[in-house]
Amino acid sequence: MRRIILAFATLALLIYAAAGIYEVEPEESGVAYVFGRMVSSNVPSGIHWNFPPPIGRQVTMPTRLTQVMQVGYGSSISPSMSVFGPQDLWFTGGASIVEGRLDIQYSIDKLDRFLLSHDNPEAYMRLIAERAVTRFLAGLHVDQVLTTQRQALVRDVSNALQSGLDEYDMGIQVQDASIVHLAPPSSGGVSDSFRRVQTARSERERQIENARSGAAQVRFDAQAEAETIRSRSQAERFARVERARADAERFRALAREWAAAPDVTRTRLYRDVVPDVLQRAKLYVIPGDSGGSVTMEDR
Amino acid sequence: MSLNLAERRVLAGILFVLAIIAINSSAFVVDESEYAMVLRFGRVVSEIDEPGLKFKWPAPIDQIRRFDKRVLYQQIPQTEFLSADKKNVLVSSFLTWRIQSPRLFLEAMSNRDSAESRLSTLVKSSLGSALGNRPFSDYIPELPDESSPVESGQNLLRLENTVFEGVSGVASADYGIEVVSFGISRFSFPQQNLNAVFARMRAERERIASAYRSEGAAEARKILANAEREAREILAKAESESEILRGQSEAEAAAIYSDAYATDPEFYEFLRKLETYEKIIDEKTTVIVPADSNLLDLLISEEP
Repeated sequence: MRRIILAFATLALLIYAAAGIYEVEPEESGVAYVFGRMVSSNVPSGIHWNFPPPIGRQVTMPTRLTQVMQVGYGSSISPSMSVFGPQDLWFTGGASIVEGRLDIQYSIDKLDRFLLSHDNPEAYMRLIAERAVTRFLAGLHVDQVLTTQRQALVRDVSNALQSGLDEYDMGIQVQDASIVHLAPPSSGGVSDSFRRVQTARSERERQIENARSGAAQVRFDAQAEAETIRSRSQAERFARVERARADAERFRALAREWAAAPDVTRTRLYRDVVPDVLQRAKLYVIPGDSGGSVTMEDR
Repeated sequence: MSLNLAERRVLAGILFVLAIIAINSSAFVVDESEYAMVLRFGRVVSEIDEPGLKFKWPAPIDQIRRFDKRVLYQQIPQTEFLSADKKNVLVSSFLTWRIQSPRLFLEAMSNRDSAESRLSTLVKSSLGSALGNRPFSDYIPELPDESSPVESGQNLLRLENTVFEGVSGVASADYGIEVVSFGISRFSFPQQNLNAVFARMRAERERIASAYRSEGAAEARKILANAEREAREILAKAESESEILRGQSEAEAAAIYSDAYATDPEFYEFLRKLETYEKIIDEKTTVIVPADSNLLDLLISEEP
């Protein structure tokens, strides 16, 4: 009888002890409690033993896994829009509004701090991130926000987040922040008018480009025209001088003839010219002697 | 009193069960993340700050209340306030706090829910008066420039500090709560004001777009006008060059002529006379020739 009781007691003890075996997965680490006191703050992956309940308990969580927290996604945090408002709209300076959604990659680097510092570290982290976004965008013009300051926003938010988390030693490591969506509001036709600005800007570029090529054409035409004028005047000059030379040569030849036989040459030249000339005119022959010269009169 | 073996065993069994029940209702575990308060007939007899296995008198003599020792977060729902420049602003904010004095907290608040609603009221009144003192443009500048990010950041920080101090003082003294931080997570406008913002943004974009369009046209005109001016200059230069060239060639030709004519001026005179006849006599000219003129001979005779 006593033996049977002893055997049962031993068996029960063994079964109870076996219930304390637990496994920490490769991406996880764990903490172990005995009577509510944390006895091990960093249990590595593998098979471990702790007192089974109600004496001991353990918590394991994925710490080597990068997790993603979404900022600015309407439904994930706030159950109703009427209580927390549209989650993806942010004020920028000049009282304009942009739509923005960010993803924050983080991991739990100290599980004990993660469990003991805050009641809901991730919810608090999202609020710090929202605060950082609000603060960063408040002082900037909407055009800066949408163009040059995107990287700065990401940097600022992840820095603000990390220092906020470190301030209370929350055991969270921020890996990266990235902009999922940052644009003019899609409601109220605002994004359409932003697109129209884009169109107008490229229209301006096009107009200027067209004008430049038109201007180049005008200049090119003028150069060509100028070149034509120059070569024409060169040619004219050449022709003029050559004609003068030819005329001079002819004159010299005639002058030589003239010097050799003045009368003959004179008569011949007269004959070459005068009949042709007189053919054109009305000719009256009057009797009498009026000297040896021809009288002409222009009517 | 003598009991036989069977009776003794039954009694031992009963005692054992009673002992289990007693242990079960008097031993309790306090976790690392919590405070425990032992209440005897509703009065606090001990505050337990250390985790571990603890004992109390079994219920209903002693009861325990547990409170979270960690920092608790609380989101303050979006609330509408009026800024000094009469803008309706919706503000979402958050608060983190922890229980500093569990005894005071238990007496003043009893539980987390009532603490949250009390704190929320405090935040709203403090935030309302702080926002009402300053124009909204302190936080969201109307015309942002280089100094705006720093200025609005500082103003926001000042606003948060004002609220933090307002809430923190009351909560610490009266509620046993230490306020850890207060932050503004978001500003917004009521829907109808949002629509006005959208309308203003659209108008601003339209203005920028039309500026781009007229800028493009003006720039294009300027470029073309410049090119045309340059073209005129190029042509004018070419023409003046060719004018100069023409003058030079005239001069050269004149020199050649006068060189030649200088060799026999008399003959030149004669030739010029002939040329003159050729030029001035046309269909309208009447020539009267005396019959005895040798001109007639020239016209008629075969040979000179």
